[in-house]
Amino acid sequence: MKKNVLVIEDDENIARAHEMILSEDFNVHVAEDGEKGLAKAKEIKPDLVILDLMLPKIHGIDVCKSIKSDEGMKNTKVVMVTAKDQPKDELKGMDTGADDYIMKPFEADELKHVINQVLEK
Amino acid sequence: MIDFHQIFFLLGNIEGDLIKGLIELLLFTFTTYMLTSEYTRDPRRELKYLIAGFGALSFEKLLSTVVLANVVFGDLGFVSYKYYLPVIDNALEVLALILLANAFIFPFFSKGDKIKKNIVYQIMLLAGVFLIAQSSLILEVILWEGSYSSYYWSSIVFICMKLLLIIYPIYTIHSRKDTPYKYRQSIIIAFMIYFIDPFIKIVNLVFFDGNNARLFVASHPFPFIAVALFTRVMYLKVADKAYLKRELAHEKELNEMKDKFVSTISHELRTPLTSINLYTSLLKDKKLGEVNKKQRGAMDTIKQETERLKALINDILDLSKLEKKKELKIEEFDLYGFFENNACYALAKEKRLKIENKLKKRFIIEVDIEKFKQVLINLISNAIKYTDKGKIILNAYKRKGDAVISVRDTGKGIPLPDLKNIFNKFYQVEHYATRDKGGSGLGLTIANEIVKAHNGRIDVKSALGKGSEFRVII
Repeated sequence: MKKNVLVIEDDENIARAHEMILSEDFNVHVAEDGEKGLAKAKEIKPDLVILDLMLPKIHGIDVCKSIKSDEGMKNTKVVMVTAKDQPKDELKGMDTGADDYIMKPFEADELKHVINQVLEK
Repeated sequence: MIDFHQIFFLLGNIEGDLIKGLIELLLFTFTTYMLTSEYTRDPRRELKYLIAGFGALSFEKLLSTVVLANVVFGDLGFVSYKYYLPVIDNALEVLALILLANAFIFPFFSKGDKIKKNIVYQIMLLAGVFLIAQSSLILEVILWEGSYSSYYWSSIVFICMKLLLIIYPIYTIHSRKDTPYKYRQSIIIAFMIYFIDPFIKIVNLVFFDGNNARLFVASHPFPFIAVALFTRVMYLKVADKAYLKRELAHEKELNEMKDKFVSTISHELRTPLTSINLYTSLLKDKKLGEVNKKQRGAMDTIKQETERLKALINDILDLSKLEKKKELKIEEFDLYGFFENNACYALAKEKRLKIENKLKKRFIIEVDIEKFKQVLINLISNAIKYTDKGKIILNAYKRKGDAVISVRDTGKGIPLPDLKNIFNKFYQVEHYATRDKGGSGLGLTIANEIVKAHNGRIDVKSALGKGSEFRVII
């Protein structure tokens, strides 16, 4: 059974690329902003969410916190997509609840590696 | 036509004294008030003494104007004025001068406690003189009506104290030229003008028994002018601070704007880069169809260039953070451990170069570890980049109280005319077709900025064909 992955990303091209890279191994769902992303997450209860930090409507950090505090999504893992000016340590310190981080710009291999790692935990 | 005789007459008698006293009272009270409101905003120690000093002057003026008013309008005899006022008056003025003189030389002493001690000793001396003078005056009045010899000598003593208390700050401020002191000239001039009044008074007392009316009157305006000058300096200092505060707030605002700009730009730049990376991966992995050798080669080039862009964005971000002068987190850093094992070894291995660590044991320096590691990595990776065969030698030693960290390579070397430019932004030595070597040209600039923030410098020695040595001195 393929696992469900929700990609919350506002850039169309990147979202599509995610789909193409991951659709071999996962069922990929896409949402284009924080609000739609949260709604979709509640609907399909994905195994993993790939969450961009800079999102329209609701900020990535708030989406992460909402997902993590939602009872129905206890098993949902979250991977946050960051940029260098928001270093890992800073974000970890903010207690976002994310399971891992990946830094832009990343490679397809890197993405798959992190996802597999997180899902195995 | 101004009648000088009238003015002279006014200045020389009790009514004139009363008017002059009222004006002085107003000025001193105003200065005390200004200093107090400044103190509430910025509780500096020297302000305390200034407030006490001007407060004492204000009090003295209040006393004398009250007594004078009583003499002019009331029934207090002129004689009683002479009993109550002279010693107390003089003593209060000396007290005020003790406080003011020490307050003005406060910036020249690193420890305020020395000044406090000085003030205590001086006040104790004053108290002693005052007690002796006042008691002998009272005794004289009781026992020998009409004799005021104690007024005479006590005045001389008080005036001498005043003169010394004025010379002391003039000398201190003038002799310590290396201490920065804004308004140095104005303060010295103010004290010199203040000096004139007691000087004339003592000449009057010694040579004319205090009876020279012209001298008596001539000395009047000077303390007033001096205090006006002091007040002016106080005011200018307050205005300076307000200006500085505004400047700092403005600078803070600009920095915040710049930060926001840089982080927006970097985010905007990274997103398309991510796109390029992901799609190139998709192409290469044949997810979008078969690829031939030439196409694969082209995609490798695309990948390389995006790596370059990525490094450039990161470097620009680093540089802008440095220019903001973020605070350094100073900790102990052991160079030996870092020299033995760091990210550059992998790079060196790729080029089949050897990295030699000349340190045999721990070598501790106190730096911001994160930032300093970056300096070393920049220098070592540069060395690797510009060396085709041979080795990179890492060493560190102490020399004349400084720590010297040396990164030497056996590479191409840097031509003499380029040596002075290598730390400039985006400068890359053109001659050796370094375009293909990649790099943003910011590596050395960033390293230099970090070392400068540590109050150090980077020296470079190089000879064409022989290699280069970069030395970080902190």
